[in-house]
Amino acid sequence: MNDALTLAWGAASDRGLRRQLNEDGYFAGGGAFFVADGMGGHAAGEVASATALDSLRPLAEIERVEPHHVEALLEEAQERVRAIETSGQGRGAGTTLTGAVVAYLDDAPYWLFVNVGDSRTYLLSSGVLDQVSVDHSEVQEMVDAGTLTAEEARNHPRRHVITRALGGRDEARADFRYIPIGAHDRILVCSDGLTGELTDQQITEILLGHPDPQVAAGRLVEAAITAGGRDNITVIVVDATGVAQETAGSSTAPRGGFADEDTIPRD
Amino acid sequence: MSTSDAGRRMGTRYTTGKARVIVRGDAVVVLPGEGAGADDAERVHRLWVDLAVPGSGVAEVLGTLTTSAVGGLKGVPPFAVVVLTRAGAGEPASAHVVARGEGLTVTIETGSGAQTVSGAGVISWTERVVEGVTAVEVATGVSGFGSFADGLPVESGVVLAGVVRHQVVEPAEVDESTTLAEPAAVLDTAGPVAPVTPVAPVASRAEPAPVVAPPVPSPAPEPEPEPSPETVAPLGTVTMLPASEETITPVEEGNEPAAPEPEVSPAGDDGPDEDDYLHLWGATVAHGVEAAAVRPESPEEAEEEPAPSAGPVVPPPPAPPAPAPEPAPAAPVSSGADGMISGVPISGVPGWSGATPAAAHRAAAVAAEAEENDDHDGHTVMSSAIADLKAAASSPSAPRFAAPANPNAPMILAVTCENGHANPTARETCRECGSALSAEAALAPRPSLGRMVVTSGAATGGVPGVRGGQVIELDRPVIVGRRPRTSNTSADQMPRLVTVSSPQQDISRSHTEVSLEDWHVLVTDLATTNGTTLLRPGQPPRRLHPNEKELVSDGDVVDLGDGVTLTFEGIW
Repeated sequence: MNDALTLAWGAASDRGLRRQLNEDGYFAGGGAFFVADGMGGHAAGEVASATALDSLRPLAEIERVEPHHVEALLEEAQERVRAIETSGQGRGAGTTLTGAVVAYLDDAPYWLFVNVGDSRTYLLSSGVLDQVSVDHSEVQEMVDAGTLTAEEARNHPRRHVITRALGGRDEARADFRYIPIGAHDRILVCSDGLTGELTDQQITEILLGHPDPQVAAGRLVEAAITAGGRDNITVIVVDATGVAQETAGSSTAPRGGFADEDTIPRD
Repeated sequence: MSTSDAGRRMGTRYTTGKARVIVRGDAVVVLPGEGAGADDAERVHRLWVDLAVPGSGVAEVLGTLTTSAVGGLKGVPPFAVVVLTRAGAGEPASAHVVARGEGLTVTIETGSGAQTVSGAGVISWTERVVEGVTAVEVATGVSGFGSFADGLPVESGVVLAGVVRHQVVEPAEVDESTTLAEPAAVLDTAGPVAPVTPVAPVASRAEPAPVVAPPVPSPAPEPEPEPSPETVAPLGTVTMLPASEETITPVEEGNEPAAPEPEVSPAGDDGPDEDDYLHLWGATVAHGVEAAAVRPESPEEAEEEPAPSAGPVVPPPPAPPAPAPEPAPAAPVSSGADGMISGVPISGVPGWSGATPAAAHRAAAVAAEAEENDDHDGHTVMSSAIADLKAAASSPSAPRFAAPANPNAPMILAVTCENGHANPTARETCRECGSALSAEAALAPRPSLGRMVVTSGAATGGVPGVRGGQVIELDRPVIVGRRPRTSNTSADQMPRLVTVSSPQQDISRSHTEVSLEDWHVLVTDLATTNGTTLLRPGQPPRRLHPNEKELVSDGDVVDLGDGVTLTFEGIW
């Protein structure tokens, strides 16, 4: 059943319309898919995102990835990003990092999602798009606290202030999350240049409208540019196919992403 | 301070203050935390209801305080609980006292003197049982007003108080300066002069940053950032198909192994300025929330206000380095380096016999009761589960396992025996080896909190035990379901996922969560379609409330449906 899992993916990245540099970066391959959104003056952001992604390369070599593997690599990334020279001026270098890597739990294939910062991962399952990651941002904390609605958060002046990053003073403290890989599931890894311009609804329509992951990734970036392109935009779209449908006995096709509609109520 | 004045009167009196105090029966619960949220009101209501039950005590209160907390132990608010057990009217009582949080001090007076219980300096809480108590006083650490001269009586109710005193035994005419010195001191420290800031209950939750700086004048009207003259760069798209083994190195812009030679533009005013315009266009900035300064972040915002001065754009003032809250009290953290054994596989302990007698007894009792109740209470208990339960509980060859110690085990307040076994601080002898526990309580890696036997259904994720059941070591949280997934969590909190088969599709994908807090095991139904049922000896089967944590006792059985049950053994 391990052999059955095949992944097809596409990726796209663009500077956008307003920014001089593309400080985003991505890494796709070996079952690992990550996007980093760098920040910091004097091109330090560009270096930071590339450095963080480079630190994750060994993931492709690890046979059974576990959270502690990722955590060790993130610690290394943290040190390397901190060491980036920023000429003593402006903000220090830092980067977000988000994505997923294939992991096996008892021979069942899982996505192990990883997140630091406000880049995002989504899961499109049975036509429903759900955000997997939780932003490490001030506005997200206000939303969690109930003082801000998700809609207000989209336009809040402090929406770009993140509370965790690689390269910051504090420990990076990544979030991890396991979700079983389902047949025909599609995941989206992206920087906030995409989600700042497009609504979930718009993203869903594009993902559903383009079966080829590369085409879908390109269309997403184009749409974000058309919508304003105020930030760098980076997108990875990954399709999982050939994975066993469900565990034994489950034949109904689930209709909801995170909900549990395929559980049959007792009489 | 005329504590003696109040002291002559029996019962409970209080000075007004800010802490919520619930007085009911012989119990007093003090919650000094911020009482603004609905959560807090809900908590108070639940405690009030808890205490309505005669004989309810510390366990019930702790249960409510810990299960209503969000975010694990960190989410548990500071509190003090005093429950008195009386021998007779006017006789000295036995007091069970628990205190959590920095600001709280409980002073217990007995015939032979006074002692204090404080929540300061410990991770969980301080607990003590004292006999021969004549009076108990709780200082909340939140500034109180007035003194006992105008202390108000309360028999039962919820009040806002600064200091609460319960007089059990009418004191003889005493020289108040001696007996009352201690409480007096306590009161002083709690006074308005030096209010002790209550510990924020949720340390990890950064609060919306207070506006510390006056709004920085909007930057000068930003020059219309021209889209670069050349047309939009072509999409940097590449297609990568998964090759079987060879590692594809996607070399993309910004993705090349960074030559650690950042381009540093010659220092000048242009650089920072440009940088500050750029942030208006959606640049992500990392900020410690506590060090937040106000700065307009969006063009819309900046445009709304007329720029007061079009002077040179001043970079936002660096936020003052706010004193970062200490993440943890400076308790001695013993690491493996100083001789602490980090987790001992239970299988390595000679004489360990699997299911505890209590577990066997309770499981058997559940089975017997379940059979009796099978028909008349409307709750069906799977007979197969009962058979398995009996087998699991009574089998002398209960499964042993050599689960590797959890390398991410959190540190927990424990008393460690000479053989390196961590035990709850209340124990006097080591549960594993029976040796006396005389060491001081200290932080130690949390050991396994017991075992969970999946007695039916085909589970993956554990070690095969009796009759195909699986044994799950409770050294980390667990999520059981037909196709389980986790929520977002840190690596050291990552639950073990246990997949069970459910031919009838009765069991939800993520069905039941087993969480570990402090020394407690808790079970939660994850708002499932068909629910989770708790089978506990001496009680009818009970469906768990969705998303509400329930404290697990040794021998408890949890039924997920479709013949899958979880039996808890060796729970502290």
